[in-house]
Amino acid sequence: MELKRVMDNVCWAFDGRKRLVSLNLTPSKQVYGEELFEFQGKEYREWNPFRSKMSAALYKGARPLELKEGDTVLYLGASSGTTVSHVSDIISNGGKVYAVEISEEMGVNLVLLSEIRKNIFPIIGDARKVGELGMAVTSCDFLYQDIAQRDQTDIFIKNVSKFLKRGGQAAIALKTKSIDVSADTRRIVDREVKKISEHFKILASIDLYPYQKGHSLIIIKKG
Amino acid sequence: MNDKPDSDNSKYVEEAKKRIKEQLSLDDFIRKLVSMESETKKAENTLFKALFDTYFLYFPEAADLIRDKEAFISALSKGVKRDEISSYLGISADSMGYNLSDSDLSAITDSFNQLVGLSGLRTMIELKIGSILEENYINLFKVAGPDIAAKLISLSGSLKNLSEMPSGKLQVLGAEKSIFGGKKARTPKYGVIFFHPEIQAASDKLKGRIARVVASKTSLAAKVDFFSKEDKSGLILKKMRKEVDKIKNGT
Repeated sequence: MELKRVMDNVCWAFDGRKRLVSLNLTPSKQVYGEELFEFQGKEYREWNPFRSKMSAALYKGARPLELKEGDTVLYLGASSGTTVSHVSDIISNGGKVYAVEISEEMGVNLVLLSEIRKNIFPIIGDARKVGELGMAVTSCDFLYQDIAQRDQTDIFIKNVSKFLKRGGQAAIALKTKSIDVSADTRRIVDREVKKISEHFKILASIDLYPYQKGHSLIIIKKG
Repeated sequence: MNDKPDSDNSKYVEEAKKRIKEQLSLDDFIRKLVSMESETKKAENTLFKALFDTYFLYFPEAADLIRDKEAFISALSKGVKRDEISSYLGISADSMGYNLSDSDLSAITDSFNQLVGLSGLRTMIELKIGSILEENYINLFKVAGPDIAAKLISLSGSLKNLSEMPSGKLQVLGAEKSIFGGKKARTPKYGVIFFHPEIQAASDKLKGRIARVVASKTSLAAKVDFFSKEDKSGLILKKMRKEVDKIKNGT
């Protein structure tokens, strides 16, 4: 096997096929049934593109995100913590990921994960009102949003304006079906990208097909 | 960068646990029961089909007479052997089917016992859902009936969501496929409320209009359950009866 570095603690692993992996912060522990394997005394977890949109974007050729060890991350729409666990691997023990999730049922898994991974700070609440959720941090190095709401773009713009540091990167996993079920996917993406571009610089807009249907990942930089 | 850096996540974990505990509710339990009921039903049907096919191989003449699940269960509970079941059905024990020894037949007996167990489990879950609804949401229970009421709560997420929902949306809950399915389909007239006895009893022509009445009264029942908890079901049912009759009499 051979590893090629992508970002901090994230590599492409080559062993007959190409797979994205992240260094396991909690060795021998799986999060969602992903494959674990050892290489040169370190344990890695497969980062499945069918389960995680961030991974799918990297598979689809996105440039490495500006997300490093020690970063403070605001993660909106954490769900049960699948992608959050890989962000937790990336930022490692020195970093913090504030993971906001509105559904208490999904939150249960997130809380269980946070008890094992101490760099995850779970918050059960609405991404529209992050300021009111009692989070001690007011600025983050990276912001990621994956929520299936009609006004997801507005929520993203608001939160990036408020919480992301200047010069920082942010990404939104856009679910077009939540915005309009009947309209053409490409048109919606174009429209939403235009809306975001009025505020921030668009670095990339990646259609996640076939890993995730009807989803696009849009990466921006705050000037 | 951080004004007050958090040293560790324990405060957040505790706070999140508190919120989860506060927010989980009876409606979540009802939702889980509804999904358990439908999964059990699927398992029951799958096992029934497989077992029926196996039995058909052994005794096709008998199996042909008991293709219905309920009939199959009540017949085989008298015994699975050809001589036992043929006397129950009043047919000859001679069969063109494949002969099975007693020890081979145990595969059929064991599967049959599992099927009976699954069937009992489903009934138990249905009763449990019914008793929870009767105790907590009496208006919805009486107006929509336990099955529909439970499905509506499950589809909308909670009684709160259901009570805030316009009755036109409640009317088509469960018909999402045909609402969003494409442009060729016409707007559906009913979702899960289709199985309401008032709608079932109506002629095809009137089903749509009666569905509207049922939806509106079900919505009313959900609102009463959510806001006052008083039993107004008698009054609501009377109103529903009146409006349904009005439609049926063509006035």
